[in-house]
Amino acid sequence: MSTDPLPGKFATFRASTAPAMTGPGGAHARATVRRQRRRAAVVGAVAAVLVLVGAGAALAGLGHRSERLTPVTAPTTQRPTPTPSQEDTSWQLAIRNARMDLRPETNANCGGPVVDFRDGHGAGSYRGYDLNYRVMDFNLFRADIDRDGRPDYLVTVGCYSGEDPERAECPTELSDEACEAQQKLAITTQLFVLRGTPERLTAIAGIHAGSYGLPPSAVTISDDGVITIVTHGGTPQYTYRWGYRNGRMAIVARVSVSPSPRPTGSASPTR
Amino acid sequence: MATAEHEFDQFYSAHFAAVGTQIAAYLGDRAEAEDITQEAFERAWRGWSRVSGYGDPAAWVRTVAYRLAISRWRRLRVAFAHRRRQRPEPAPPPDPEWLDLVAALATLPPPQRRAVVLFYLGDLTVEEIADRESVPAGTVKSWLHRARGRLAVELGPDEISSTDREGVLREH
Repeated sequence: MSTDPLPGKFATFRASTAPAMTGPGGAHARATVRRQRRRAAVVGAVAAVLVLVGAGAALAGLGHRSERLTPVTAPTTQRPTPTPSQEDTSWQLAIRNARMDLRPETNANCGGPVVDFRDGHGAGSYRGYDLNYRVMDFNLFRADIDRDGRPDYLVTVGCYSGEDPERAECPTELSDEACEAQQKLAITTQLFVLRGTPERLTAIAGIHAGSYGLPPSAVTISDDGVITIVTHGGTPQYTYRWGYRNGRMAIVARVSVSPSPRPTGSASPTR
Repeated sequence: MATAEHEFDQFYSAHFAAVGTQIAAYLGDRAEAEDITQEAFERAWRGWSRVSGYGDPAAWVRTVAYRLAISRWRRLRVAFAHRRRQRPEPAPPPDPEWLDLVAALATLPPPQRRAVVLFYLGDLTVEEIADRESVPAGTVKSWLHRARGRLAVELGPDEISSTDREGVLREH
């Protein structure tokens, strides 16, 4: 009789993983494809217009390489939440130069080792990949989230591999605005709750992996440390509340809202 | 009469968990595995008139999912494309046994890791894995043999010894 324990280990793995691996559903997949096809049709139409405009400009003798072509339909971009006022900037500066232990959050897209940040930038290896990290200058808060009487930090960490996407060249037919949007979409972001002091912060949870190009519409923290996140645009749009319960961060409420309200963004440090 | 949509939804329900579980083992990340698996099913729907006619559409989806998982750039792109639409909740923390296994799998080179996952979670034979990976069956046996040796070190030297269900693997 075989004594190989691997079948048993994988069976246990399957039993613990498969029941929760349900996915958003077949209808969701079909809806996504439908949206992508519509978007592709719009982009194709815009590209066709750009070609026509470019050809027309060239014929009119205006074919300077520095001339920027503006799409007929200007892309919308979300601006990050503005940073807090100047009289409370010292802790933000400390966070941009902090040491963050991202290891405890094992289910993260911007997870990592212990990362030393200098002026908001850091690097590390995560699961065999060399990642560059950033402390994003939006949705950055200080509050007592775990209710232990000491301040914690809610930080948006960005990550990418290889060349800085914001330095990558865009196709010449893209406007500056569209190019910026494309570059920002290449930077993954994730909200982390961190305990400790900037000399040594430890992540206790991560949530809402997204991208720099599509940040949450709004993030706020109430006086009792509960974090409210309104997802970026889309239909449905979600508002969910994330709080410290029974020794860990947990979703305490989740509401879907449709249609999506105009994103406002907010940053309100409580201390 | 079943419509294409209904057929696809049934296909999705029948196979999503199996594919997603394999990708979760391969990547060591359940959330990312779900995103990648969803992307693979979306691609299947895009070409459903063709994919549905294949002898094993689930194998096609699994192949696409593995390719997405292998490609680092695609992983990052898929992650933000899906997370901006859905799933704001973090996944529940994995249990220690789960962590031990994925950590051990992470020490394997990608081909060995894929072979082990396909063999033990995908229930593929050595020949099926060889066909999928476009390598000789002997290469797959070698991968599995080395992987078992490595996993024996990572999971405990006294835990892995004997042959597997097909008698393919030798004692280390």
